Amino acid sequence: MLELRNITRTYELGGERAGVFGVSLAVAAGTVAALAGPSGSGKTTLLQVAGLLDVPDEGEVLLEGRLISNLPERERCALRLERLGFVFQSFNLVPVLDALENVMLPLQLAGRPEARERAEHLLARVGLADRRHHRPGQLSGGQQQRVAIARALANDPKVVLADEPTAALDHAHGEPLLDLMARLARETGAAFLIASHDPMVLDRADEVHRLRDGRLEAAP
Amino acid sequence: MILAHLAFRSVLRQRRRSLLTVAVLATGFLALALAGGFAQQTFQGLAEGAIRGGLGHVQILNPAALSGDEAQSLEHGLPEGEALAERLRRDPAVAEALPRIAFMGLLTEGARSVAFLGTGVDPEREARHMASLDQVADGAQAPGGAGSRWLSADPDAREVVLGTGLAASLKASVGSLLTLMATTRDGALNAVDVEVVGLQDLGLKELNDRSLAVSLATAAQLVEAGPARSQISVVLKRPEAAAAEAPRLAALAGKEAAALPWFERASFYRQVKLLYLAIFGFMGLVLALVVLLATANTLLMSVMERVRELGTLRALGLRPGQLLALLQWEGALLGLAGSAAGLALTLLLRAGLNALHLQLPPPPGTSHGYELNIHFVPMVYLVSFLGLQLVVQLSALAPGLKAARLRITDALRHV
Repeated sequence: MLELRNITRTYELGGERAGVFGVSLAVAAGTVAALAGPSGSGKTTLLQVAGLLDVPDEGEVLLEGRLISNLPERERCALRLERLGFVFQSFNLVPVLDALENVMLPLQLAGRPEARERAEHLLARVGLADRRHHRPGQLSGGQQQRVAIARALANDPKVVLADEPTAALDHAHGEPLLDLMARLARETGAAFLIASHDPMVLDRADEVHRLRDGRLEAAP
Repeated sequence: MILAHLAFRSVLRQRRRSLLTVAVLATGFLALALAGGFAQQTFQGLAEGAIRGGLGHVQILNPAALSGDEAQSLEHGLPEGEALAERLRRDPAVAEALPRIAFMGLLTEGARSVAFLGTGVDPEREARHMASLDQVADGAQAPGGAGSRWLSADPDAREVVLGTGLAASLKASVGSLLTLMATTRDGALNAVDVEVVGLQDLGLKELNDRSLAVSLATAAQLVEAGPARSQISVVLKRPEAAAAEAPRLAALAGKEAAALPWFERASFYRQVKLLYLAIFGFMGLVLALVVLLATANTLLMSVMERVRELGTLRALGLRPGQLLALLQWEGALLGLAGSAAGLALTLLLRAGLNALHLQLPPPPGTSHGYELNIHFVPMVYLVSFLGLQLVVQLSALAPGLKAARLRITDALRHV
């Protein structure tokens, strides 16, 4: 589904080159892959390249076999909207919109007429049907992250990229969230790539890719 | 519409700041609309003064009169002016045609003589359509003006109405007997004895110092005019049609006459209008600058506070152009709210100010004050709205471009 080939993306940090160097990996449809590694190992950088938020210095990103990393900005935007979903560490919901409107947002941007019905359905799937008219500030961290997951799945993406989705949550809220993501990966057929150093994530992942100093460690 | 919805919510997020911006916009609208209404009152007053002061809506005259002074009376006149006036009166668009004889000469009382600019008019018709009676009523307040009246319609009466300044320089008053001296059409000197029946205040000191009015019959006798007239002031049934009717009336008047709409002859009106437009234009520029800075500041702060949110929107697939559009929507909503509030304030304040019946000092070049009456001018309101909206949209450009140029990865890291 998603394939990264020999990705290099570097930047200057404290006078040294940091980032990722020649990373290759693939995530299959309907599976959850974890991108593990300590802080500064390049997880977020790799996720941003995979999600077309950043452009690699070298290497290629392929989605369903199609090279997408060299596309012009307009097409990258369209792909982010319709083929990719994002879940952020700090939820990143739009604070002036309620839960339902946050989920409707990508649907409306994509011009889908059934935006409201689908957003309500997705909120019900993440267990927040009764919170749909609550604004982010009125929801707990776990609930906000559920809304973010519903938003990420709004346009039936092929790939969902999650950056430390449990980092802002305690164990009690993080665990069911990960179960939910694993279930949704199976049910929707979307490939989930989760960057995290949370053992809960690694335990539940179908596959774990470990990064250290920007390079992929060989599997044990 | 999702962008408009998002913009609406974003504008409501910082209510106090948005309210302040709306207040600035409303004040801008208020200032422009009130100034425009006041200017309209001034222009209308000046226009009415020029038209009722003798120009009429269209002036029929000999084209040569526009290019040079006359060596003798009626040298550049309309040879068959009286007949032409009759013909014009029969035109369906014409309410009245007022033939006039312009002449100059010396006004004498005993040993004292003063140069004058005289106008011979049809007393009855003139009083019906021009400001003669008002001017005489004002003149009656001047020294020597007690008992002032307008010229009688009797063609045998030899009467004169003097400008207040002219009367003062001769120490003449109502009832004084004077002698008018002028050259005839042939260049000979002629004189007519007249009685002062009134003083007139024309609103301009320079005119009051030199002007006098007599009946057409008196002027015709003095300059031996025969059927000739200097010009004909045409009063139209539809005053606003002056520009449109002028060419048709020129054709009706014949080859030797030109027809000019009143504003082409009212140089004072044009000069004051230009002056006012320059003042209001400058004021508009200052207001536009204030509005531009206030709105740009509000929207820029809004962008700076939402960097991560804007980065998230870009990550979700929003294009840079859509972020630009989002900021334009926010500006548009602020502008609409500002203009709506400004309109309400303007209508309230206009009603309040007009109800006070404030007396204003005389405008440039005139000797009369007038009552403040700010006009309701829909076009000024529309132009104020469109102008403010344009400024607001311009002010949203810089914040919009800033938002559109954000690097997504940097924006998502922003705290």
